[in-house]
Amino acid sequence: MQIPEPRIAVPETAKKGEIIEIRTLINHVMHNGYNYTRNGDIIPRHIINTFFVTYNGVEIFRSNLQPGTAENPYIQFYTTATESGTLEFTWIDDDGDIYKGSRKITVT
Amino acid sequence: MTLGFGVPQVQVENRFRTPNRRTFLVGASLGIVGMVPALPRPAQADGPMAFPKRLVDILDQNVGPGEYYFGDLLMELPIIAETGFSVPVTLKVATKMTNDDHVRRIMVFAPQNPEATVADYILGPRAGKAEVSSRIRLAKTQTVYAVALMSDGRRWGTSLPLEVTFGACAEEVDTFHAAEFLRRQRVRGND
Repeated sequence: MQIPEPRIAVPETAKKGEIIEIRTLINHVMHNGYNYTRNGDIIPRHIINTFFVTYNGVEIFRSNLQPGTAENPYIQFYTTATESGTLEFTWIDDDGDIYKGSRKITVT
Repeated sequence: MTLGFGVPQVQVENRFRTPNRRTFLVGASLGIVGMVPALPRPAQADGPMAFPKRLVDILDQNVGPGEYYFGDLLMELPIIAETGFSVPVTLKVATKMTNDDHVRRIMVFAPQNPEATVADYILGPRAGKAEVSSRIRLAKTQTVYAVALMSDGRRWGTSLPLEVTFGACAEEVDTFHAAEFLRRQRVRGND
């Protein structure tokens, strides 16, 4: 299935020690395994079950997503800007598909 | 009874971050007196939180048995959700997120959903601020529970009742459904 580029909002620059807000949204059907079609067939579960973020290789946030997460999972969280570098975002779904995104940040 | 957002015990106040008159007055009086070494934590005076049996089982299985107190964990939820497909939720914990004192994990539960665990976040001292927002699905009108596990073993809990007009989880979905509608709305409105 075609999944568009995840949308990630990270400030481009930050002061050292500043707490920055990170917003992420990925388009995904997140079938929870309980919905059914008009014919009564259950739509099998297909969700993103893992999301994690690394900051220059160090994990700073992780979420075990559940069927109770809404379609197109949106997650907003915070981190401390420690050094210039790259934030890498990874989503993994039930089929083992991995979606990645990254943002660069300059810390002054 | 309430001091800032740290100790929201009355659930109605829990919904709004703006301090009401009483919190303001308490805060102001503390400010005048000054030099209060540490804000009291009256949370434990209430005794541990009561969870539905289903949640107790899940919590015991996932994080081990323990007692949860109202206190530093704040959950923001709408009072009424028109559809349960996408309900915004924000969780905050009043902590400095230092190496010694930070939130390890925040979980959200909807006991009336087919699967009660709806969110599970793992945080660390790098977060800087213990706050997470997301959107959850709710099957029906129910009380939503949240817990926060601290690095030093303390456990905070909170709960909020919420009315869901149109539930999410087990619905017929075909050519058009509410989630698709919401998705289109969101794509336009958010980036």
